[in-house]
Amino acid sequence: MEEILRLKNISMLYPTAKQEDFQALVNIDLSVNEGDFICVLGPSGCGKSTLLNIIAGLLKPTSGAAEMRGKPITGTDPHRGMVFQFPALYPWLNTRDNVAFGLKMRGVGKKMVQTEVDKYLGLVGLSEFGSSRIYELSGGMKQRAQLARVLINQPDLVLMDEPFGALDALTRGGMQDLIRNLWMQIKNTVILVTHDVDEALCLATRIVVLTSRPGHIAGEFKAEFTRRIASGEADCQYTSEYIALKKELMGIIRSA
Amino acid sequence: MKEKRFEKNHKIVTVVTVAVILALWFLATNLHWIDTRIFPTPQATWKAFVAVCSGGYKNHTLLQHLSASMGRLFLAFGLAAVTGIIMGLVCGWSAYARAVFEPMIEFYRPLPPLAYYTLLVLWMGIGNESKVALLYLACLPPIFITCCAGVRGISPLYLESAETLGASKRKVFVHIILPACLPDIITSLRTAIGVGYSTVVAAEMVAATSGIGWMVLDASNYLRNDIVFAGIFVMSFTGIVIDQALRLLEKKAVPWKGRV
Repeated sequence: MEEILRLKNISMLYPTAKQEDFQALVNIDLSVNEGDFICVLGPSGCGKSTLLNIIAGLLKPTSGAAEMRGKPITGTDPHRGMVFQFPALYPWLNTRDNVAFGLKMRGVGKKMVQTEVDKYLGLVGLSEFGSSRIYELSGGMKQRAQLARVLINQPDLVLMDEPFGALDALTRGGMQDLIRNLWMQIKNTVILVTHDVDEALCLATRIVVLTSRPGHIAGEFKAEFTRRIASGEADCQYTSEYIALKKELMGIIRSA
Repeated sequence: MKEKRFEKNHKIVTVVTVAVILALWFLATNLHWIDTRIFPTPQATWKAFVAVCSGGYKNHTLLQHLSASMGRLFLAFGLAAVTGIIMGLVCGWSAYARAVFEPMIEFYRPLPPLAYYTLLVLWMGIGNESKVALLYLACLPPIFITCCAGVRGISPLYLESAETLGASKRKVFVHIILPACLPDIITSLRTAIGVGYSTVVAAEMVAATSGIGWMVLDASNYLRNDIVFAGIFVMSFTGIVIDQALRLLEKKAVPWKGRV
């Protein structure tokens, strides 16, 4: 598998009122291959979102470098789509126009935009809600709309910042299945940040554990439960391997 | 359902209140509880209204006086809206632009407009120019300040998401900042026209030869309280109509207001 993203010795300091700067991230090294589904797992305040913002190009690291396909990341790029925890859909546009936003900004022709919007609304199951106003959608539907808005740009790398954190448990389960199916269908690369161990276990092909003070990588694990769930083996969450890995992950997070 | 019924009850209370006040006015003046030279009867006010509508007051009909005032107001308001919105949005966006314009506006904003009106009259005469300039200056700060604050209050998520979706800085301004500030823009216009309206009446009372404010002041010099009353009612209704028009605009233009 070809490498799509490389983080080289990234550190991030935030100035504080005290003498010493706050170390959000230190010496982060990570290599991501095409087709990976990476879950960055860690407690709140460990710098997960900071890391994601650096990859997105929204933040510049204090030291170190992030490269996508060998080219340094200097700013945002539609090839790196970002799904935020809160959907941030634009209330002055209806659902269709929200999904079409990226294509319109990049000057794609009207007809092409129409067919693409129909396709992606269908993929996230919102075909009937294209003309709905944003405030008429439920929380889960908003998150689906945001997903469509990001995926329509056909980003090679999709970044997700705790995308289901604000959803109820039932909706979250449905959204996880949707994300997994889309990933298997589109075959893109995903980096998802979460504090939920089960979410990481049932979505990721690789789990990167981040612990705080200062934020650093405490361990990396391969997981294949997501493929097993996709092939119909939903019960793998109750197997001893699953429970063993969960125990190990919890142990690292607790002891940090 | 329940809310609808309450709404209806509110309306009934409003109608009853207005009716009671009108009845008291009618009784108090017609039964001579108060002197009608100071406080005219409703009938006299109505008669004065009809008279100034058809015959006019000092060579001009009521409509002409009113349109003189409204012409000044809307010319100045339009100019202030265009420049204020652009300046406000740009200053909310750029700290450098803010550093240039903010001190100028903050300097004269606390002044009551009539304080510098004398200067404007001295420079431009008592014709329309000085009044339009005065109203422009009165309308500008509320628009500028609210638009500026509106930009700075935009959720960073709107800007970051637009950026990651591939929008350039210029496109972010047009497609995100402008629509996101629309609720603030309309609120600022409502405030500005309120300030402008009270200023136009006051300015006409200080120095003018036409306009609804001038008509009321001139009539009071001749103790024509019936005309004063009629003029004040006309001003009040005009103000209500303008504000309702802007509210309607708000409903049409920003249906999402208060729902996100």
